[in-house]
Amino acid sequence: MTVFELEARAGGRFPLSGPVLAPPVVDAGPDVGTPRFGVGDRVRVREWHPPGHTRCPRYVRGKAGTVVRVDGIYSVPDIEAHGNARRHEPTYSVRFDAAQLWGDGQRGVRVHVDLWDSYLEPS
Amino acid sequence: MSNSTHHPAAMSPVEQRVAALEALLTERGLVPEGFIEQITRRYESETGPMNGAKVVARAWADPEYKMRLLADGTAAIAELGFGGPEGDHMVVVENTAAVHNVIVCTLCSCYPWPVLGLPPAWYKDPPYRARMVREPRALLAEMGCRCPRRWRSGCGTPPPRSATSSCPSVRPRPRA
Repeated sequence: MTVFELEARAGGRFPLSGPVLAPPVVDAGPDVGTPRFGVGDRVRVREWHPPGHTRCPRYVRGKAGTVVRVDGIYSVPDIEAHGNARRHEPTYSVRFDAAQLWGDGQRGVRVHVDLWDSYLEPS
Repeated sequence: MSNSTHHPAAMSPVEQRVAALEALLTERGLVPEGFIEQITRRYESETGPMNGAKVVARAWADPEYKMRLLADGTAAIAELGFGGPEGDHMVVVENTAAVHNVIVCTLCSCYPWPVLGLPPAWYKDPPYRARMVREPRALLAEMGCRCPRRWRSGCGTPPPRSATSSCPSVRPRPRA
């Protein structure tokens, strides 16, 4: 199906999103079968800004939090979105203090974000 | 027969694009005949917040079910016959006298379709997604849900997988 067919049928412009700018991942590396972290562990999100798709929100990068749940093993979307390569890793729910994310002194608010193993490092 | 049947309002550009895409997908056999109507019917009339309400009511009435629900949300919700796309990995959290939970997908619009139906437009809007993670108390108050200062607010983004987590009992509702 081409954009020309779509435009002919729609009777007007049919804008499509641009191509993915990130290069495809050729070697995804080995799957990670064993969680590196457990409930209660302090972790820090890697300060890492890859081009292309990721499921790691920028507002947690470089921030420290606590693992509150260890979830299943899933394909890393940052890799899956950019080619046929796949790597599977454990996922975690990590709790952050909102005041530390936003630096605004708000109290009593916690933010839980679910993150893949390779987004994290020990803190 | 109504006049609108013979002279329907002109389609908007986005409606024309949707119709063009649907027609081509159907002609090529990429979408089975009737598939889109079936999905639309399912999410318009068979799926919605009433499903989540049944799950919560069961948890209120049955302490053992509540324990199963909090331990493995996906399995416990499946006991009532609910599951499927966007509900493959459900995590259920509980509001207490001291904690109010709210779900926001800051990266896209993950939403637990099997228990709440399709997401309302405000849930997908960038202002909701940006503000709920940044200032949940203020936004909840604007939506008619006041959380006393002594309460903790647990703001959770859904699992960044294809699926989602939610607690049907804590979905904030916008004030009409």
